[in-house]
Amino acid sequence: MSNQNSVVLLTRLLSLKESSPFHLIIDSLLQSSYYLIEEYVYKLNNSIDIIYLSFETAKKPNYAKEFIDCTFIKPDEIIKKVKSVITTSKSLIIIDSLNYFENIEVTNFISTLASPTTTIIATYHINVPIPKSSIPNYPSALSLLTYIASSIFELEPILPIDINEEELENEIAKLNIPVNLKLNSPIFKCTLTNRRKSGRSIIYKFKIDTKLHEYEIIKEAQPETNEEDESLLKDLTTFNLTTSNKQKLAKEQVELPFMQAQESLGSSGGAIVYEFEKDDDYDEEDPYEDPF
Amino acid sequence: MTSNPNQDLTFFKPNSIISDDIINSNNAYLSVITNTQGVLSNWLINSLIENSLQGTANLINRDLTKKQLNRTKVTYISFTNNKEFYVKNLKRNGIDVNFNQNFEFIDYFTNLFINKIKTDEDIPKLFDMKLDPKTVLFVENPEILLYSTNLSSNRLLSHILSLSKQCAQTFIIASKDLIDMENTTNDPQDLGFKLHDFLTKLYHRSIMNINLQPLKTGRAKDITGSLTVSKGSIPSNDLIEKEYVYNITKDGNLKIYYR
Repeated sequence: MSNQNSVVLLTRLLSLKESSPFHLIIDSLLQSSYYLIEEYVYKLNNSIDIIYLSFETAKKPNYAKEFIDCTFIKPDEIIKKVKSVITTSKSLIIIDSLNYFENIEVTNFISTLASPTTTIIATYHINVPIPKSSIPNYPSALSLLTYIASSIFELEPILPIDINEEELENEIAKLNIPVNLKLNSPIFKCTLTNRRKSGRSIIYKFKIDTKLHEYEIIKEAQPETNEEDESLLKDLTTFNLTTSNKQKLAKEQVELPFMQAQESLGSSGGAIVYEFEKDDDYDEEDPYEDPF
Repeated sequence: MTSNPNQDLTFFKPNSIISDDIINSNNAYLSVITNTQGVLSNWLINSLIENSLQGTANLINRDLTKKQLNRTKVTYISFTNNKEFYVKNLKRNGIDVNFNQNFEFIDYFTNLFINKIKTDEDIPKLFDMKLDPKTVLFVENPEILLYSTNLSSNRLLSHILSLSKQCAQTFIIASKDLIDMENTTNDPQDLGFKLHDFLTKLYHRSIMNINLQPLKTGRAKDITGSLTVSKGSIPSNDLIEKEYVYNITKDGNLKIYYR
């Protein structure tokens, strides 16, 4: 997919035009999901009813039609409340944090609420410590969520080049938040993983500017590797390891046996072709004789 | 460093400690102040109370001199000090809270486990109160409940949210002493785990994080500690991110320097 198409995909996801029932946003103390949620709201432009499930938000955001305080109620009661306010038309559920669920209940909660007409956008804070599961060896909430999510947005700040990321991670783990590093900024990096219905997933990295509403794909600078660098092979041994142009051409022109087989047999669109040999005893009348 | 002129503490633009925008807002803002045993935040809290009640902050910002009567109400909930402690301390800031009707002190330090919490069912009652929307609320060391009862960090956060949603600004003051990364466990009943979980989730709700810590380079005669003002997960355009160092002298005078 070209760069342009990837930006179109992001725009379609943010305006909920792409079929994707569960958007998982993984944020951190370095870059929160606040601005990305605001970007969804900007793109949606009041075209959809928003139900806000609050586990840590004090007041109803302006864009929310319904605000459900989930702090003292159990997941099944939340589901009941959501279902009572949900309308038949398309609606969006925003969950401010999935860190308040136990790993054994979170997937059931999400899958009960998500439907073709209801999209869920939920944030998971990666820096919150993960408690030991009440059932031994049960997967963590995050692994379960990344498994069921149809789109995953991993947010990171755009850090100055000279920053030591390991040191920064250590400081954050000790809850010492450094200053003036453009953390929690309206311009940030986002790794988008989008899952197709077929199961194929595509991954893009974007720089999202929520002030100007502009998205730009980030191309990771790959170190240039020249596989045919003959100079690496020189002076290693007394043998000649290099190949001349003439030898290379000859090598490329060698027709490999499996290529030949594909041309003659596989031309009929993936069908299995059985070639009888002279010793084969094949009786057309006997159904059990069918070699396929 | 001693040759530098005294510098002032400012949290929000333009030159304010708790801005008028916050106090008059319909939102409910939360800020977190963390400290450790060597560097307690009492001096800062006194100034925050002073600033909330009358707009001044004599000891930390010399430009904030204009007194505003009845600027806002202050409710102070403390799990580690009694009222006398603050009455005495605030006198240094020129405020007698015994005679200030806008100041309410809720003492959850004195006889907490004798009178107020007899069983775990009594804990929700501690947070069952009505607050004026134009209140600056301080909750000092609520993490004590995590150590001394079966209360989970999620439940404590819910109780705090039920209070903070009623008022314009809430300050949570907590100690980071138990955060020990080298001995981290994932046992939800472990005290270090509970505190780490509690603070991390608070940081995801806050607009401002103030962190007091001793100097990383060790002890110094002319510096008591460092103070970092950093952005929380909820953005505020007016917040000034900055690092300071400060010195509290033997006679209790305070000097602040930019780092």
